[in-house]
Amino acid sequence: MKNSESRSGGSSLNPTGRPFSGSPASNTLFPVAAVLLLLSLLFFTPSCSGKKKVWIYTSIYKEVIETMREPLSKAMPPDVEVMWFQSGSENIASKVNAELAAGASRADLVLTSDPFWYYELKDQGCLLPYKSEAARDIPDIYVDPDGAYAGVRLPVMVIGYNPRYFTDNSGPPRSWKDLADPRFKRLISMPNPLESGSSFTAVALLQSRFGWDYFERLRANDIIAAGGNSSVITRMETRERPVGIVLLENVLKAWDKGSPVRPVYPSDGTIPVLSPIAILRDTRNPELAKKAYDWFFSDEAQRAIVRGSMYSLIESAPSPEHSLPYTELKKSMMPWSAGILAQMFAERAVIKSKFSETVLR
Amino acid sequence: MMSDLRLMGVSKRFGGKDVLMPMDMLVTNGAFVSLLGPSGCGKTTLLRLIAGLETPSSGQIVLGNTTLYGPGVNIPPEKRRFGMVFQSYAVWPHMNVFENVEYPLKVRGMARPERRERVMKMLALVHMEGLTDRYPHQLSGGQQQRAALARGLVMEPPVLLLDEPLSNLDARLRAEMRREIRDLHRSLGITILYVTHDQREAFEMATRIVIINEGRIEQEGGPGEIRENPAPGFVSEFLSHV
Amino acid sequence: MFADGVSNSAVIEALARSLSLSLVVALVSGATGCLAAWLVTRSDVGGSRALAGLFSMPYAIPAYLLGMAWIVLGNPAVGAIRELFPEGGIYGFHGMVLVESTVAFAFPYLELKAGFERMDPSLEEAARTSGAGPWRVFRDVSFPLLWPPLVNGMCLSFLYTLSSFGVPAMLGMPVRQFVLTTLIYSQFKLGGMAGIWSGLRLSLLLLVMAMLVLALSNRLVGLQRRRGGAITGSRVSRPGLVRLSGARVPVTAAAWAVFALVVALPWGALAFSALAPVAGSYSPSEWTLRNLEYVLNLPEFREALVNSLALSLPVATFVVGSGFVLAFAAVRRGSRLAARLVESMGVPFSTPGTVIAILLIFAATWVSAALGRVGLSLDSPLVWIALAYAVKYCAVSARMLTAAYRQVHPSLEEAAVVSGATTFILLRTIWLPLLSRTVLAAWFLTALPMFTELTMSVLLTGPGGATLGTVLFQLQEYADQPSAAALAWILLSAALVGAFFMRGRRAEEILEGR
Repeated sequence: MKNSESRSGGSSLNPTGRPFSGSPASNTLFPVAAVLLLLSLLFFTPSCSGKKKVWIYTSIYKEVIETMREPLSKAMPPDVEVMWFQSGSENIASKVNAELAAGASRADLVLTSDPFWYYELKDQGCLLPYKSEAARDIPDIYVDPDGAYAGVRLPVMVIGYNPRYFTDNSGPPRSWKDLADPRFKRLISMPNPLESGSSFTAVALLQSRFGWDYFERLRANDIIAAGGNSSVITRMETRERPVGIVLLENVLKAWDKGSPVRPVYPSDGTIPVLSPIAILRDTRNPELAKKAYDWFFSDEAQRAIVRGSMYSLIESAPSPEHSLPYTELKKSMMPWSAGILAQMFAERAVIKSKFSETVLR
Repeated sequence: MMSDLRLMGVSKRFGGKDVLMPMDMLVTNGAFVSLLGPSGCGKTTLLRLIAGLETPSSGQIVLGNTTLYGPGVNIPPEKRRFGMVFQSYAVWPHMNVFENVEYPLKVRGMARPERRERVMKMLALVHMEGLTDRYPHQLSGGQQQRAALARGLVMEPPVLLLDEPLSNLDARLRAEMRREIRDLHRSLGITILYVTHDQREAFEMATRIVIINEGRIEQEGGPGEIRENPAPGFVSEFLSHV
Repeated sequence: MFADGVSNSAVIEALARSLSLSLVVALVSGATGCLAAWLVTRSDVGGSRALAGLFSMPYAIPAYLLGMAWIVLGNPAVGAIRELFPEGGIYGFHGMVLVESTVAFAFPYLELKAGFERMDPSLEEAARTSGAGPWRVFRDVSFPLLWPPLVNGMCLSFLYTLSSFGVPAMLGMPVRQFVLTTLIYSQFKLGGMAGIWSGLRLSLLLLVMAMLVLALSNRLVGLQRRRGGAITGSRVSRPGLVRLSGARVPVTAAAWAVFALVVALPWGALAFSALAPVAGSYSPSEWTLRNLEYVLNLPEFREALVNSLALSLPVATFVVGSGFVLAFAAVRRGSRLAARLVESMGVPFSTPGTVIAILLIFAATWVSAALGRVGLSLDSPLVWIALAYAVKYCAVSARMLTAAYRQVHPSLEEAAVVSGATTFILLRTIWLPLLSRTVLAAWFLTALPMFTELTMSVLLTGPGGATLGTVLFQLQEYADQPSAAALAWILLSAALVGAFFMRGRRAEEILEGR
């Protein structure tokens, strides 16, 4: 009521929307002030710190990092602070690549599970060669002959399945070959090999073993190839896709938490995914970086890795809970060598585009 | 034509507050009734209830033989066939003068040639025949108000409702418009209900004045009657401030 | 040519899908946004005050969580409502349209709601008393006058969808429907150095599309302005509400049903997922609070909550504040520089978050190298995350406010200038109250996505830089779906409670701290 009595209408003769001309100074003042304010954001917390820092970029589980934090700090000199950046393997690769493209990465050490990325970094001369005495127990096939990187743990790709789905006589698949059987039509998913290094390794090894024909049959089975390993687990748990090509550590982790998902170690060979550690060439403290590098091969570090449901590459180390013992696993593992890695790297673009054409179209 | 406007026990509450007490009112055919009162007294609300823009809390509104609002009846504003002029003019900025005035006829589906004739006649009446192609932002306030007036009159409504139509104009224009509205009333012989807080407007134009305060009718009568015999209390007090 | 390991025809197919998806989403959200804004501002629909706040809720849910919830509901194998979808499940084009629209709908909806509230209701009332029914009033008066904010809102919906990644990744990729952003993503993810460049090449393609759309919408709005429309006077009386009479019950039911569909359903799905011991075990006998406890006791949770609040609130305020001033300079002072700045803000808005984050990592590396030379270090990742948020979302408020300034009659400002107001006083005392509704809507549209941003945060974060988005990513990738759902459910519930308390409060009351 009150409002309606005090309306003010437009009684002006001014054309609509015609800018009201102010003083010329204010024409530029406002945008300039706004931009300056925006730029000032850049500098609101520049900080100084006296301690030397060693940056580790890694894709291992946060819980595993928590168990490593203390012992690694103790193993380092007291004036050194260890900084952890944790994310997915591919995120770390993107970040480091961008940092390298802009000059230098902040990372001193990288510890992820995409072997091809290490191969590329070495190729571009971005890694510091270091033949560590600490890594002497690691089998040669997992160590770069020039010492640019060395395997520090061994994730493997297996078949996972949800037993609640297979309640009748038809059992889960037992081998990679089984997955191509029409019996498993619309039951399988896998991580997208265009996004996940472990999945790419699986595709590369499977195609060299069975040919692209195999993937054509997976396509005919309407396989879903999307997301990462975690989305494969979720699809198995919800029974949207009760079977999956997936990292063993994700299956074991889910098992640990009460999930029904179980692994199958395919009779035609589990797939090793080399997960190296490497020092970047531009590290500010090569000696400190080497010290941290060595620590990851120590008993302490390897035990933490096994507790995190991953295999240690050191034969004497125990195997993760619920898993097939490493000695058993080794017998059925697909062959791996530096030569295979080099060949797969060379064919990388072809494998990716072939996979896109066969499965993603 | 019997088109007396009758209000019986009409009241309005907003959010638990009585804006209008139940009131009766009769606007006879051809009258020029002014609702006069201070800001916030409820006179605009009353006008909006009649137009159908607000719903009464109780009572009945009847025009001629048609119940506009009553038990089980609530005719929407577009079917009440009133003309209305707003304080803010409310001429549509995306239509030119001609289109603004033509709109009520267009909505009712009148044929184009007939529409044109009626619009031009109406624009001539408000002295706007030369400005048909202008858009509102090219018009002065007075011209906008004339266009709004023409739009309100073009469909020859039984009652024209005006809500403080002159309060945004300057003094000289106001005097001119008062004269013109009075002339229009005489020449067209239509019924006018005119809301204002300006005594001068009420006394100069209206044939009957209803003085409202705090949601109540304080006094009603012809201009002369009220001037001679203002009710003691609010009315005398209100009229003493010129 | 465009990208490694992807054929040109695949790129073109993805481009076509990106464009058609964005267009359909813009049209759907424009139409529904228009209807919803009209219902809550101009009609007597039941519970309009509550609906007004609730309608923009889906925007508060990060797209990847919405995708997750919809997959629980509608996946073709076991989803509870999978039969309702024409292709037998949520995956595919119409699933993407549905979920993107529930989010992108907020842009035209909030723009138009502010527009309706700002518009002089007597313009519409004059049409009603002229004999036009509610629909004709809308067609002949409201729509032509509110055309600029509508086009602008639809334009934002279009650009939002064009640059969105989460929904196409979750609902398109499983059935092999790629859009440009998902292609760019896979380039970045596994292309090595070459992948960065080919990803950037692809995003250039995306950018060209976005620029074309921006230019087109600017032209459309410009045409409208030349025709002399686009005025709404000062804020005036409470509008008389349109009585829906006989249609009131069905319309009210439909409005609430839509709300249920876009908010309550995903909310329920998240709740179910959060209570499940493992994903897929949804029977009540197995329900557990373990996931919720796990999330609440997570050490990063507190840090993330504090960081996300400390980032989104000031950055959104700053972004809206500078947008307010910039739009003023562009519209009212005719500054061409400001106008160009506002236009160029559309670029980051339509650039995928991954690309922005990569470019900022470049920048961060250069800056820290430069600072290192003078003995400083800049280790706080929050600075860069804040910058990323500001850059990515500055377009929303600048564009909304530009459209709003154009709608108000210059005489209101001139009156104040004549009274001797300086520019600062003018902005504070005239424009801020006049545009309060748009300012507040813009603030919400800016702050909410920052609060739960994931794509850029994950790449830019570092020690001490956990945000709710990075924690969600952690939970999703390294823990399990139920705990991610638990955090999502907590966030969404908090947003709903917030909306509940905000309901019915007028914009200016909030801005004036009442």
